[in-house]
Amino acid sequence: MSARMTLLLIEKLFALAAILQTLEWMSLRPAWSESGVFRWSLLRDDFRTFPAFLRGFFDAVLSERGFAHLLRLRLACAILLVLTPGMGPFVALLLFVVSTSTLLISMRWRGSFNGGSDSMTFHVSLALFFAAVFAKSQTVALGSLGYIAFHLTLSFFVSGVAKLASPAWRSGHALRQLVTTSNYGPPAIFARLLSQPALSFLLGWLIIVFECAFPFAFFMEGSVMMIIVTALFFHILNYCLFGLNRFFFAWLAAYPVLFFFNR
Amino acid sequence: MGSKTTLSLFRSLLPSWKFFDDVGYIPRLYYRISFGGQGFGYWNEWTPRYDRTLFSFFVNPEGNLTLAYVTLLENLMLEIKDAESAEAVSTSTSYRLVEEFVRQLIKDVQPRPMMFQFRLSVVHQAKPQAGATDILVSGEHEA
Repeated sequence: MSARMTLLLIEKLFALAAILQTLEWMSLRPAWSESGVFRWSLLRDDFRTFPAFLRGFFDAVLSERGFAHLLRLRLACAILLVLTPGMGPFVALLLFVVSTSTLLISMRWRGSFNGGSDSMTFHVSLALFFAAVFAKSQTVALGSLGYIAFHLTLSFFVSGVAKLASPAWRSGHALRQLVTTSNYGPPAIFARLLSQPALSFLLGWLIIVFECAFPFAFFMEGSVMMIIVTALFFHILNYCLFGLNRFFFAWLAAYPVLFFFNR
Repeated sequence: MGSKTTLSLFRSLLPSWKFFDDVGYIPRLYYRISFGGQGFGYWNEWTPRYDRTLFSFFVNPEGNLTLAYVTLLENLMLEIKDAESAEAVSTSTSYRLVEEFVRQLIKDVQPRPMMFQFRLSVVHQAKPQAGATDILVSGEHEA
């Protein structure tokens, strides 16, 4: 697959993730409206250190009415990204809106709505934006793919090394403790299954090895599909245990870089 | 506090990429209500629960909102740890958001309560049998 084709595939998968995310936020209006918990009149206090002109901008964009418009605009741009063929100035404009809105929405949720999935969404959109602005440059296309590959690799490798450094993960207790005591509301069946020490130990070490070994995915010839299927299974497991559905789609958009670099 | 708060607004730009890297303290939220003149009743624990379905694999607003509430409690727990005074905690955005969250939790209680109070406790995931330790008991708030 060429660099441009890979970017195009990433762009379409990214747009799908952005559509699903935006639909979620739109349906959560009762929570971010002025009668909800995450009302702007409370949140705006976090923005008090910004200069007055920026505070005015945030008031306009992140208050209930402005935020509703921002989400509608983001949804429209994400749908247009799916429908628009190729890359160029119009796609760059759409990506600029989606990328900027990702950051603004994260800020409104006090830095992040859904942890790492917000970050992956933002960094993939940033890479795609530059690829679209310099649509004719092969160097920028390669740089954009490299940037996505860098964050994709870090997202697994850093997480794996951190787990390896943890005695609780090495001893096999961590996964059981995370699942049985967490605030993520795991279904009882998973808590029961992982309360078996052998299974918790095995699954915990499989996760550590997979995450630490992820950088090799770029060099293991002919193994891309197997790695992607394993990674997707890993995301589904995360959804079952911790309810992190957004991670599946945010990471799915980044995986095509494996096809490009693993040649 | 101000510049730290401002920086945290941009944390999606600089991810740590450390997911579930260790076990540690996690927050638990309790609340109780009063109907006026009778004192407060027993403490209720807020338990984050949401269903995993095929549909919610694609669009999961309730589940992700629940996770946002969990993050809010974690933020308040960290702010309490770093706070210079109790007053700094009770005037913080996190405290006021949790206060509002509890107000929403009890909004459908009939007859309508007059006042409520909440408390935040922490439990170590490696030693849940040791029980929860209170780190905050709120003032009394109007429902």
